[in-house]
Amino acid sequence: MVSVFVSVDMEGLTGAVSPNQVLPGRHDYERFREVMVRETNAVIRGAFEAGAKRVLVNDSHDGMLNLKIEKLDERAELISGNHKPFSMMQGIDEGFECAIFLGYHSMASGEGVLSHTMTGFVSKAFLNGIPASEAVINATLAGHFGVPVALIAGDQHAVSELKEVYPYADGVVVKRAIERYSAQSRPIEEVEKELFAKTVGVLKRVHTLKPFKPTPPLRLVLELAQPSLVSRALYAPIANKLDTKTLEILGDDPLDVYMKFRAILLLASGARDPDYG
Amino acid sequence: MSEMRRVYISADMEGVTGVVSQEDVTPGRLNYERFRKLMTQDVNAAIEGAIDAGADEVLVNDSHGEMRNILIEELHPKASLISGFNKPLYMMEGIDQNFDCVFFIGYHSMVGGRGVLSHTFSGASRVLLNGRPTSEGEVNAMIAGYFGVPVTMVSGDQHTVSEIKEVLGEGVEGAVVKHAIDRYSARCLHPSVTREIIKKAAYRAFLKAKQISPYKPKPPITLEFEFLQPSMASRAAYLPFVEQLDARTVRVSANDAISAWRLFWSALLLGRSAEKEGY
Repeated sequence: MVSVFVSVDMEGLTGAVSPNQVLPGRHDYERFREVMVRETNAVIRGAFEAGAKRVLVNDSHDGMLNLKIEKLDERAELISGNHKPFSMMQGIDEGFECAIFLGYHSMASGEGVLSHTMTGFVSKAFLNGIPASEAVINATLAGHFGVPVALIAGDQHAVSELKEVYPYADGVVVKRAIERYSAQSRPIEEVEKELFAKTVGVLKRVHTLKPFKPTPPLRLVLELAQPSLVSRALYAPIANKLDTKTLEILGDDPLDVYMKFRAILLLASGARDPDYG
Repeated sequence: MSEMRRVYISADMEGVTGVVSQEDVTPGRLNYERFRKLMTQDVNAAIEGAIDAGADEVLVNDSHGEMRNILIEELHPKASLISGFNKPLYMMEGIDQNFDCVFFIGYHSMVGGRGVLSHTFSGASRVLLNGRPTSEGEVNAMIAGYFGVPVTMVSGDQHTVSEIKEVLGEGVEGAVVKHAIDRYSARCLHPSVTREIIKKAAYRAFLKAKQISPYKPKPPITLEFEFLQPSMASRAAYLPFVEQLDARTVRVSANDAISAWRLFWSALLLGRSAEKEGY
């Protein structure tokens, strides 16, 4: 029985180029919730077309309340809301044949549309020396459970950042970033067709894909925007300070490193100032 | 040259002269500006007492809320002030082995206690130190104890003072500035009266610095705390050193007071980040 895990973010959706389109309450947000559900449904249709028996969709953007369940393909299950230990990967376990990343974006300091890594205050992230996007970090967690990433959709940078380190993932480039706040997008119908077709394709060869497993020991290096964020994060003795703005998380086990990473970012965010960052 | 004698003051607000309500201790609320002044006055009274008794230097750590309450322009000129937030040792930032004694000014009783505005840090409905209900005063005394510095004085309501004496001993000087009727009401002594009470207690407390032992709970030091909501405990449990005991309760343990504090404080902050406004 083939089960598919789908993590859906928003910045990498067809047409999305601005915070006004992906933040709840902003003027174009409702339109892009529709795009989000359309891309997701294209993948769900492809998965069932290829014989999947279960599709679990995890809303992975911001407060994680974006996907409208009443618009979602009725064969899928939805994880909604935040406060999830695995965040964008909540629900992943050994029971899935593959993971699919939709609406993904490029890493902090990257050239892609709305580039960032998890939050606005991470300025750089490296996993074992590799520049680490959210896709790379999430693929590592999926790999811990033996689950390969079969497909990623987003702008050209989001796709290539993952494929450079993990060639097993197929990609759908939904738009070409011009810079962080502009892109040339493909028509949504065309993107839907490609998402459907590639989902069918990757599921047919899913058993040839290998999970992403960086060689242990794992070393996740994070550069944060301000020294005070690092100081606050280090209240918990689970990371080492490398310099005023940089810390490292070490571990043999991807799950352990991932949970430390979550804790570090949540603690650091407590040191942010609304005016001074 | 004689050795410099130093006093460390950790100043909270709920136990300040006259304070009985959130309106008194929350920036922007009805009585906050008045009680900043009275907080500064209570601290000044303690400084005066310590200096009269022979102290050369006083370090005051603003330890309430966002820790920018004390009016530096009205603070005793012999004191220096630690102000502002994000301090690793929090209410005890700046403490080290170079102090003769610690005073707790404006302190309050523990969560679940009968005193004015009782709580033990925020976010937890119960906090246990080595199995016994604990107060901010006890946890902070343990941090001072790590550096070999005894707490010799506390000011606050009657419950605050008796709770501290119960764990640190009767020798600790207590300045009762008000008598709690309930968590939100008290019979308050006039500031001109509490000024003398605090000053005299501080005078005696400074002279007792060598007679009172630093507080050192028996290791391993275990801090167990029950969060208000299960989602807070689940989030605290992201930390690998946090043991979750039930839906709302977590525990940390360490062999020395500073390590125990760091584990406790980071777990509490992480848990608190899961609180949602309105719920």
